[in-house]
Amino acid sequence: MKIRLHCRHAHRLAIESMDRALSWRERVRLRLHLVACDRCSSFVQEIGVLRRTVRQWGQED
Amino acid sequence: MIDAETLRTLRGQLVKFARIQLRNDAWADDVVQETLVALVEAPERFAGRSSLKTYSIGILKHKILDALRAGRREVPLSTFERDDGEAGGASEQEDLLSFDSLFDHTGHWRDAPRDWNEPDTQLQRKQFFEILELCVDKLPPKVARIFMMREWLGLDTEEICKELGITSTNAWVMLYRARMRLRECLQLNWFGESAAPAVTTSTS
Repeated sequence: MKIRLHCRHAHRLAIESMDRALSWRERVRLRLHLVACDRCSSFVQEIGVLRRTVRQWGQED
Repeated sequence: MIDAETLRTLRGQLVKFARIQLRNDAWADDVVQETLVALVEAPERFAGRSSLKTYSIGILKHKILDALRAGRREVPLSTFERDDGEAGGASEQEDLLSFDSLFDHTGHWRDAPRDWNEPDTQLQRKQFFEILELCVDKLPPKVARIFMMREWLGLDTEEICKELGITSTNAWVMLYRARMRLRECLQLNWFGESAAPAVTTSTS
């Protein structure tokens, strides 16, 4: 099977992993991509900040 | 005892959240009213535990959930929202395609994402949430609503699909759009270099 992911596909999987359980195959492909790709790792960090901040929205003071 | 001025300010803040979620001003006013009544009736509950606003947001979330559940049968999503978020709709396809321009023909990022610094001081946080609010307002109402149900109310996609009568694929697509649009908007208006908070280098 094709293991290698491009960023175009990886970023989508990264987002979907926030809302659904990825298949085993998807998880492996995403993880391998993230190990090698700083850009997508930063993207994951960004959407993580988005998630954490929205959860605190309204409780900022 | 909570004074009238405090209640008025609080009311305005709560209404904002309720409207994003319920898409119906009358319902929004109702849940906010119920929240304020709960506050006024038992003001001792929040004393010392958290700020009044934090405490009331907690109550409001419960009231919104109740309202969503009660309203499920009466007002299906499609009857009061014009923007068609169904997967496969023309505008939906165009919107999803527009994210393709983030990548070059080899499938790599054109502009590299960079790690974001979370706003940490009170002032930064206040300003950040003002920008976030503007960004959420720019989303199609249906997309904003689902995003807030997922991330702010903390529902899982299964519950969201049940409340709104949509498929899970549809929900994932809308959540994807919401995250991509918000990321773009925040990058532009908050995390981008020109908008970087002024405090970053002042400590040296």
